[in-house]
Amino acid sequence: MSKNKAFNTISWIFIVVFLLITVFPFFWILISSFKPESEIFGANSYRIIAENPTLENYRVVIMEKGMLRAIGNSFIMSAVTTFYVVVVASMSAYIISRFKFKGKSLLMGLILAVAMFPQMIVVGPIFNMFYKANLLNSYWVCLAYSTITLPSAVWIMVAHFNQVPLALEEAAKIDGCSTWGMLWKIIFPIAAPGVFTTAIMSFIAAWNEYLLSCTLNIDEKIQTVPVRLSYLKDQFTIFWSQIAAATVVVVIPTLLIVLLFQKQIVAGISNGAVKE
Amino acid sequence: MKRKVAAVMLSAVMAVGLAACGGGSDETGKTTSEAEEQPSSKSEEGDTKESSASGGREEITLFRSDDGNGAVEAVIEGFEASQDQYKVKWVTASNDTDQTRSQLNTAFSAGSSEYDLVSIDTVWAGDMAAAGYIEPLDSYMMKAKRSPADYNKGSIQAGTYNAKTYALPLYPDFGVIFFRSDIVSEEDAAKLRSGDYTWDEFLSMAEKYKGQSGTKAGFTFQANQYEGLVCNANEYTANFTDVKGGLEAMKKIVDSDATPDDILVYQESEAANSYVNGDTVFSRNWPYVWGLLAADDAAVKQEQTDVAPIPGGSCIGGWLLAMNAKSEHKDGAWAFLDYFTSLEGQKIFCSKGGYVPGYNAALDDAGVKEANQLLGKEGFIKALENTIARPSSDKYEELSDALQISIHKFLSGESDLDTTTSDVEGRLNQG
Repeated sequence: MSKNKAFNTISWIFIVVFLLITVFPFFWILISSFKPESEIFGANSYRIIAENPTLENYRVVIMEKGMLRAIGNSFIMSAVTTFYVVVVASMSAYIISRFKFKGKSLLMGLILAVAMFPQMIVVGPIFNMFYKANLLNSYWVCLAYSTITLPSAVWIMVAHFNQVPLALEEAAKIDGCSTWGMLWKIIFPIAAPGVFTTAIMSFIAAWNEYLLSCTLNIDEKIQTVPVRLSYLKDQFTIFWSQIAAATVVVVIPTLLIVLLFQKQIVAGISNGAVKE
Repeated sequence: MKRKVAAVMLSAVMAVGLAACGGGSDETGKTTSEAEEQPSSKSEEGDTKESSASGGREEITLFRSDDGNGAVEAVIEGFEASQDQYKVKWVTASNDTDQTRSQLNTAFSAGSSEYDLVSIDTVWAGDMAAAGYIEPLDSYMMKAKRSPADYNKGSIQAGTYNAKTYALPLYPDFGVIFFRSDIVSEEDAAKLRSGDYTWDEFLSMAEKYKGQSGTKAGFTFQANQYEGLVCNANEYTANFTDVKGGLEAMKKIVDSDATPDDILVYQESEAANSYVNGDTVFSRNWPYVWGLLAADDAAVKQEQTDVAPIPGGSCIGGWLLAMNAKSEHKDGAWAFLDYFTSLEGQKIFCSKGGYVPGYNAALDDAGVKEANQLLGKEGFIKALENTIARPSSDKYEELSDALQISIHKFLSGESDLDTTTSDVEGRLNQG
């Protein structure tokens, strides 16, 4: 009994310490966002609550530095990329998972190879294409985003689609369902956990994307959040408290999305688990 | 059932997203193409930093960062009022120098004519001119009767490649040593202001005054492994004429008690913070630190501060203005470039932004002097008269990287003086 208690205590201490370490940077960003620039460094920098707490950073970031517009842009681009990637990846994954054709494994290998290109190398040619097609500084950057997420999305979807029992489709076929219908009405909903994983992965990748966005969309009114964040410094100084405030502002929408969909994600996963 | 709900919700969210995007992208696509195909038509985009000039004018696009002081807006306004042929669209570049550089290089290598005028760092001109990205300005200057001698010496040199002028100075930035006039004795201060001192004398002063009035260090400068180290090394070695002596002095200062233990990671902001917070007596930095001293919460004020030139010369930084070789509006681009770098434009730009003018005649302007109190300081003027450019090369980035690594290795004690000297000299001779 006492052994158990000691073990419990140690576990708790470990968990608390671990949590403190992981949560600390986020906590520090939060409190830094309320500090004036002068208290970020120097004697006052270790105070938990600033000597002169201020909301000025939030005002500057939201009103003057255009962070709200950037969040809007990021949201639109991430959502569209997610939608596009999920639709295209579902269709290609269905074909790969259900149909037999020559060079299937070669195709899978090629898809993976595309994902392995260093972004720094593709960004030049992509810029040239966008420039020639007159697509710079527009939401078309979503197309470029999808090149990053689509390959891994296809792979994840194929793995999930493979797990859906063939019997279900056969039953649907007997009831007169078309191939197209089978994908969207049978496989897609059953593989929901995989779909959600893919969607979330694409969304986060697009939300955090920096290089393509900063190269293709230079115009201020179409910039995304990560690029906008990088504008919060001047040639020699970095405005840490503004960056902290902007980070807090930027995290809120993503946090909301995760909280909103958390139930669905968990439900989807457990539903899938007992299906087999 | 739950699955179905989830799937429906997800698709609904996505559909909304798509609809929003569809509208947005159409709109943007249209305005972009409109702006490019019919430069004369007035753009409808509301709240960008675009000119409010009336239609019928040819649009010139400027790519430059925003220093947040309204100086660029004021110049654009002045230019648009001075003629009725052109208007200016300003695309704000990031203040991250490397990011701006890669954005520009990507656009230039695609042959983009998006920007007619680009603001470039002093060390980019060589690379960009060699690659044919920017337009030589000599014939335009000849027509407008401008001579390179009209502009700041170090800056115009930085914009020169193969004896042709590729960029004109917007404003020069140069290294100076800020010091606490309330700590340093009048005798030493006079010596510092005159610039007639050696690094050894300077080091003994830094050691002498360290600890007074709550200071923790004598001297801070930029010794991290980055571009700033090349600037500092340039100053210590008197424009790389005395590599061995300069490196030796640098190492001595790094190893002394006068500098903080972590001096080898100091960049501009660390050095500025140490001075503004009253932690050091001397600090080498760019003139922008003067502005920081005006803040209410600065521990050290402008009244407590004086400026000394650097013995080996002050390394030039700052920004130049160049013309895209692929520009489709070269006449207009030159008109604005000329205005921006001329007496009139420089007066507006520098008095609004507190910069040092790159056009020499503007130095005497009362408004410019008033906006930049440093111009009234003896040590500052001395520094301005003795500016030195960084080594010019068409592969500057490579050269700079190699120098940074070599010098930083030496300062941290990983290699000895002779090896480093011959390495640095060898690389400079190659470039």
